[in-house]
Amino acid sequence: MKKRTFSLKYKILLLLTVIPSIALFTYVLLAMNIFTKDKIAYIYDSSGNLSQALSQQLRVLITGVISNNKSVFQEFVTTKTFGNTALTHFENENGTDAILAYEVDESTKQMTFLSMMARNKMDYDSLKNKIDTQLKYEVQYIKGNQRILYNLDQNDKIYFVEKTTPIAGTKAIYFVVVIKAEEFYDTFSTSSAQQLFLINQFGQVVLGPNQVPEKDIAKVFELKFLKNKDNRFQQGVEETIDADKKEMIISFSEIGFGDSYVLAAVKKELALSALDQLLKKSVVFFVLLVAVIAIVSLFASGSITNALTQLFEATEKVTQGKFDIQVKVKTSDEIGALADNFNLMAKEVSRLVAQTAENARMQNELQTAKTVQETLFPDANALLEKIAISGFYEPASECGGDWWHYCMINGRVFFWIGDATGHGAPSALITSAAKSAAAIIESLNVGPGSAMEYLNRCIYEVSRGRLMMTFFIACYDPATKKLTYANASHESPYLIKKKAGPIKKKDLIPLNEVNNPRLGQGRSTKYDETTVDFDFEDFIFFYTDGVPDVRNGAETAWGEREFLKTIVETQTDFPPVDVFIERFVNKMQTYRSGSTLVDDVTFFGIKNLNG
Amino acid sequence: MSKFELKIDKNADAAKITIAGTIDEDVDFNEFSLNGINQMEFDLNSVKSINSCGIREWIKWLGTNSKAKMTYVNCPKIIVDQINMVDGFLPQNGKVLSFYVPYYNDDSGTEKNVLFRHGNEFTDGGVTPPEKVVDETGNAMEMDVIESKYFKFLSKK
Repeated sequence: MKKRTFSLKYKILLLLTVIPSIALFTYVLLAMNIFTKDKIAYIYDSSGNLSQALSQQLRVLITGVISNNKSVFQEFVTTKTFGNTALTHFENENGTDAILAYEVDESTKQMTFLSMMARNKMDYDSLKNKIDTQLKYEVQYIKGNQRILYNLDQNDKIYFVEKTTPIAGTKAIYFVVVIKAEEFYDTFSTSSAQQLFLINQFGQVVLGPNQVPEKDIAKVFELKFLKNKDNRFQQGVEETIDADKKEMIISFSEIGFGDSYVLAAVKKELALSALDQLLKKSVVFFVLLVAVIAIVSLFASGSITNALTQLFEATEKVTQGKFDIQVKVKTSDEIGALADNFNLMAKEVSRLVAQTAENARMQNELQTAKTVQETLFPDANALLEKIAISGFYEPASECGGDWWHYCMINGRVFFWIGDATGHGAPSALITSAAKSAAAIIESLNVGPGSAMEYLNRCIYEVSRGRLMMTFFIACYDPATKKLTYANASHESPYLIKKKAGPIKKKDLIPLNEVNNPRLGQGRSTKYDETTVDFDFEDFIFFYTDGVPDVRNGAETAWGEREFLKTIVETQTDFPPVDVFIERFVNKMQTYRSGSTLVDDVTFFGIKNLNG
Repeated sequence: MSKFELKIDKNADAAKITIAGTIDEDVDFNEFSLNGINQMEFDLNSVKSINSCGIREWIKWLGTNSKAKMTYVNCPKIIVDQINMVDGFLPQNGKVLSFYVPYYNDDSGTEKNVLFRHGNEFTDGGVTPPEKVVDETGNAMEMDVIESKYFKFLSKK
């Protein structure tokens, strides 16, 4: 038997857990991938919308301020002062916190402060120097009508410069407009999850989160779209890293004023935190599911393999020769059916083994019976009182129902031949009884008729009518050369008288002058006897009915015609009796060609050599 | 082996019993009661074989109504052989009304069964066989039995 290396239980367990696990894992991967893409697209979209909305609101605010203050600028250019119109307008225009007017010589870049209109002039006393410095920078380096937003004090005030075109011979007027953008300041400064920035064209942070103190956006993020100064996108999204090397998603939208942008920045890690949570939950769910599958598989494989293990152990016992086992499997599936079949098979094998053992025992007993029965038969060849005897006997099975015998009783030679009903062991028992009776009868001084009556009584008592026996007893008296016989329904022997020339069928004389019932048919049956001459070289052939019933390979019986013909042909030259028997046996066996006998075959011949 | 068949046609206290096939130990004659029948005619024409156990059962069966008058008709050779050999196969009050005698031509190998009928080819005392029996081609056939053995039963009555 091959050694088991990997238990079927673990194979089933592996199969039931690995396949669902792989499928589940693949599903999670695919789902996470799709969900990540979808989430990023959502972030891009929502972030872009936010930056776009804020840029639009800022544009509305700034352009509104410029538009509203145009009349103020025109009045100042004409009067060089903020008159009543300006003051009235300033009172009604909430967006503007202050307007500072400077006169600038474009050729020398000399600038002179002219006037200021502010809601709270105190605030600007300290800021004025910063405003001057910033304006000086713009006058020096900013050309054309570029407008730049900036925040000088990290608060809610946004500055930009509005230039006027000078009339010939006059100097240009620069208005530094300060917008108070409290709501935007709050929005930008308090942004946390999504950081908001308002940057000018130089990348300087005008408004931004409080937690990001950097003034230069380049120190916060590396933004590719800012590097292309000549052809910047109006809006878009890009992924970058921050100063801490964290991945960031930045959406930007140009506000349409002074090349400024609103940025909405979110850490990718934070944006995808939901995804991360989903992934963690999925992993937990995955592990739980695999654990449940493993436990269920353990039970399932256990229930399957337990039954198989029982069957395996049962088969091992069978290989050890223990067939009286039954497997207790209660399932009604294929394994249950297999167990039922195994139980049936084991039961049948057990029965067959017992039967085989019984058959072997019976065979052994039959062999013993055969050996014993062979002792019931005399030597095949003999010479008694100058009567030559030769015989042949072959049972159809181990034991036969035929019996023949010869003996001397008070100087007379007795010949016995009988055939019990059927053949085999039961018939052999009857022949044994017949032999026993014959042994006793031999001690009595009786003739064939009386011998037959004693024999009949014996057979009747033994078989009680269930088994019978045909029998023929003949007795040769050498003094008278006469043969006396009695017949109990047995095949009549044939007497062949010595004659000159070849014999023919009509020369066969059946010894059938007397006939009485079979032995065992009635308890007190009387048997007649009669006498015939049995002279020198006369021959008698005794036989049982199995002889003409010998079959060949085609199951065709030899038949009476061929049987008689063989007797005639074999005896035609009056050979010695043993030669006759030998010839007869050869012819019979030639016809038989090794076929199984259907009945016991017994015959013998006697020849009178008493000249 | 031929299947055993037995048919009883009753007419008042008489019956014609037709038997066919093999008579052996497997035949249960107890299924066929002979009680109440005073005169039986057994037609044995289709009996194919009979063994020693079948003979035992047959004799036992006929013994269940031993007082009835029994006649055998159309007895084939195997039945005649048993009548001759086994005392009691034909009961004491039984009589053969017709039986077959096998004929044979040794040259052509032809066989023929000739029906001998009581009062024609045989009587209670002896046999008067046909003067000449020929086969289909006109060849003379001879009796294929030992007469002293085959007709022995006739001399018993």
